[in-house]
Amino acid sequence: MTHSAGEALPPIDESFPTWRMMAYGAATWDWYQVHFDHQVAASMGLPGPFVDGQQWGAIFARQLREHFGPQAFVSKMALRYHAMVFADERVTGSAEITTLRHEPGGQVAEVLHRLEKDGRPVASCRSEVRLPD
Amino acid sequence: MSGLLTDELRAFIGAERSYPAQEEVGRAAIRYFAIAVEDRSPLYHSDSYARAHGYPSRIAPPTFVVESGAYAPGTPNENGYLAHEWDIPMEGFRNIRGGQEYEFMRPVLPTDRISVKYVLESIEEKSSRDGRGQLMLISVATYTDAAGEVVATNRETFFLQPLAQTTSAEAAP
Repeated sequence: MTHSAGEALPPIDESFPTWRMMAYGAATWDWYQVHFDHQVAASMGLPGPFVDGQQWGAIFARQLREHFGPQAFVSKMALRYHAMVFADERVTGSAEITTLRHEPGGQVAEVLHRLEKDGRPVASCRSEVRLPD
Repeated sequence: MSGLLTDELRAFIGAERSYPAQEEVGRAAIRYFAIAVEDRSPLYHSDSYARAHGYPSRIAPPTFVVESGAYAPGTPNENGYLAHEWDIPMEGFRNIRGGQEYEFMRPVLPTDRISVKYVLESIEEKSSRDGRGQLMLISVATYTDAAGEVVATNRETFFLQPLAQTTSAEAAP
């Protein structure tokens, strides 16, 4: 498949019920209670358990695979976290190819991802993906 | 600025912790992670599909290796936290995760035995957006396979903010 700068990746639109946050915590060996326990979150003055920010990296990586296919290789990701997302909140995200360049091993796509809730930034990421010939 | 970077904290700069691999990554762990992040690609649960696309077996999703807390030995602390920590004295501070930079050298396979080494690269006193003091920590994790080859790195930035000025940014761990 031919790609070009400005090309959009599949959008993100999803919510995070507590069970999903628990599943991610278990899958990453992170049982930190504030990611799934409402009482603990309340005791810390938070409106609810909050999503582990590292999960955004997994979701951005999924977005890359969905767009570039199973043979693309994600070589770099630089994430920035801007705001917390609490249980049952909805996030939406977009991403686009910002640059395509040729290297000795093949073509490399640079992608900018943005994630928001209620129009406010939650996380952003710059990724690099080596594309199959 | 407020002298947040004490000699006690400065002594942590350059600290290292290494966790040798305890077992292979395993097919179930990869499949579980993929389900948890709602990535339904057969790459992560079908060896035959992965082989058809040029891999020796199923592979792990890219960030699996850097998001897992499976490396550190021990038992969960009173908050349920099990993964690596620097044990920096943080009374009166909240730990805010600012970002991470991942670099991946190759896909991780279920038969890989991954060891990790953490280095606390720097601690600096910085001004927050409202001009008050905070500490910025940079920790670098390097993941290696059984042959000692680097498969990924994770450069993490944290901020230690006095509790009185904590904002609603991501709190860690």
